[in-house]
Amino acid sequence: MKNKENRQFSLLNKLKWGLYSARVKLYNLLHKKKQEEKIMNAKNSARITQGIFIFFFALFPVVQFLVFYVGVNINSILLAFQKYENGKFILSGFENFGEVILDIFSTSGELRLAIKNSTIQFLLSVISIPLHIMVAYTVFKNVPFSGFFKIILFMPNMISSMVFVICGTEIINEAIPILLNNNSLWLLNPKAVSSFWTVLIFGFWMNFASGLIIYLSAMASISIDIMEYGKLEKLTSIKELWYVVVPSIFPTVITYIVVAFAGFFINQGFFFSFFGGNAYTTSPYDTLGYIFFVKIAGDDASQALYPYAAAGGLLFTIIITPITIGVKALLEKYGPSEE
Amino acid sequence: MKKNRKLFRKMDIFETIVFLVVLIYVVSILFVLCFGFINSLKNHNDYLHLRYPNVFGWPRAEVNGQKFGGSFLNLYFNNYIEMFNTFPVEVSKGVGLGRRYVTVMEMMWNSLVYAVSMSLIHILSQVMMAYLCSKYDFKLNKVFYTTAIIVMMIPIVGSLASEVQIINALNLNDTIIGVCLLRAKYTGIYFLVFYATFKNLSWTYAEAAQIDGAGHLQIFVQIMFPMVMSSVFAVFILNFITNWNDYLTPMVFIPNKPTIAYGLYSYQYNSNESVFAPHKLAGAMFTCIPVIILFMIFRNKIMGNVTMGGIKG
Repeated sequence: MKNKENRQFSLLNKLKWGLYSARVKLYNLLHKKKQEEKIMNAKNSARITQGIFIFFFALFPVVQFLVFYVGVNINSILLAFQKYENGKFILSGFENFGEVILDIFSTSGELRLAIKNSTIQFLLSVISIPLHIMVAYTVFKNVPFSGFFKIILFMPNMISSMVFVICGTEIINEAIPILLNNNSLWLLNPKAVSSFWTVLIFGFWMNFASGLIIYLSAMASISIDIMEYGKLEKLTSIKELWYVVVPSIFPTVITYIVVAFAGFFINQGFFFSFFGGNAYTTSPYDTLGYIFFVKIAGDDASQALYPYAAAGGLLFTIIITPITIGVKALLEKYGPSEE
Repeated sequence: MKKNRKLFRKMDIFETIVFLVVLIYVVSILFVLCFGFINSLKNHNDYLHLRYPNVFGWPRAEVNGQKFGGSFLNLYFNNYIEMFNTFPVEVSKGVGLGRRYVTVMEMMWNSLVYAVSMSLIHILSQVMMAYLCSKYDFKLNKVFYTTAIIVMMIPIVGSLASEVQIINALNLNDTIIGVCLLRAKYTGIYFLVFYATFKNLSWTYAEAAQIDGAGHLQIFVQIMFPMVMSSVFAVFILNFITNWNDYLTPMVFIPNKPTIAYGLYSYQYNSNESVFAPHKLAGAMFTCIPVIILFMIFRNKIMGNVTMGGIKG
């Protein structure tokens, strides 16, 4: 009897457990879907929130870029094919390009002289790069008074170039003639070729410590182990510079070389600071960057000159872009590396 | 690098030669600035006396009975006072509204607004984009980053005419906000600096904040941005100095809101009969003062490491 009762009790329990398990499984089945849906909704919500954040965060930089870089350059290309007549711009085909090419190749063309001056300016800027590295290296090596040198070398970057131009003008026009006892030097005569060389040398002097902070930062990130190894090998400073420092900072050097190439057509030096400029006058110190600036912002500049400047700019951009990219690629492939 | 405690240590020949060259250059910078400063305190009759010009020496009290009116140590401070009267730049009040003179203090204010606005808006654009590209994985991430690299490599020549046209078309000519928007491109060397800085920050802090319910903007403003504040501030100071000294951009885009740098450029060509070289030098020295003060206060930030690492790939 008792066994029969126990058997019945056990069956009942099993039934209860069975029903309970079924209930739990049913509950989980129903709610699992809801939980999965909840997780999916939460993920989607997070994705949407992130997407909204990225959209609004990128909105200003992207719109600014589209309007003031892409828009400006598209407008510049369109402007190159127009001319200004009777107060409005009309299509003129390749007329502006013809004018630019004629100016480059004709003996009396203003661009011919500008290309020559720009070439000299460019060569000087490339030759100066090793000098800038040596100056930065000297400060980096903590030579005597290096802290003081760092501050003074930074002065031309800190103080307006116009201050140095005004002081330089007085030194060149008044002080040097008195020193040399020669009042007919006319080094800054805007009609003489000497004005080009004077301002070029002034520019070289002003940019003597160009890139100092960037080079110092790059040198500071050179591994101490490599520097210590150089010391153990008893490398002289010139060998350390050539075999250790330059390869380590070469990516930074590449940047400055690329900038020098890009600056061939853009760099206007200090010529505008010294002489101002007239849009229609050819001067012995014309460079490409100077001419294209003066045609828009110089005295007597007018909208009539915009298409010429745009056409010249487009032509030179097409020329310099592959050169710049090619120079960068070559330097990265064949230049010294840390390895 | 261990700081060398000895004032004079042994240098090899190469170091010695470069040291001497740098020393000569440093002396030349100091000479030019001292030349400008001392001559800015001379009476113009003393500076360019017909028979005995005094270009290199200390200001004189008189020559051949002609007194130069200097006060303490013969210094002629009147140049700075007279400079204030002759420095103002003539600008247009508006179409058909005549012209007016912009005073030195107004130019200082224009410079401050221009330099701060230009720097802030430009940095904001670069920081925002650098943060997104370094911390978020989305479809256009690579596009934005690659665009920044490509734009840096492609030199655009002759776009100034188009810029002037676009600014005029948007009715933003002669407004500081217009020129700020024009120059607020996110691409540039400092985009790479901020990108590298954000890349080095751990995202763990942001995850912890997300668990606490912080939104993306909150994470950026309260966690990520404060961690890069040091770099941002250093770049801001550098940009501020560059924009403070820039006279070409204000000359082209905000000609009727001249900054002090443009005022100095304009002063150089001032044909007023009462403006002489010492006045121009006084104007030049006066414009140095704010930048020198700024440099003295933030010297460590400005001269600190701003890592760029070059552009590769």
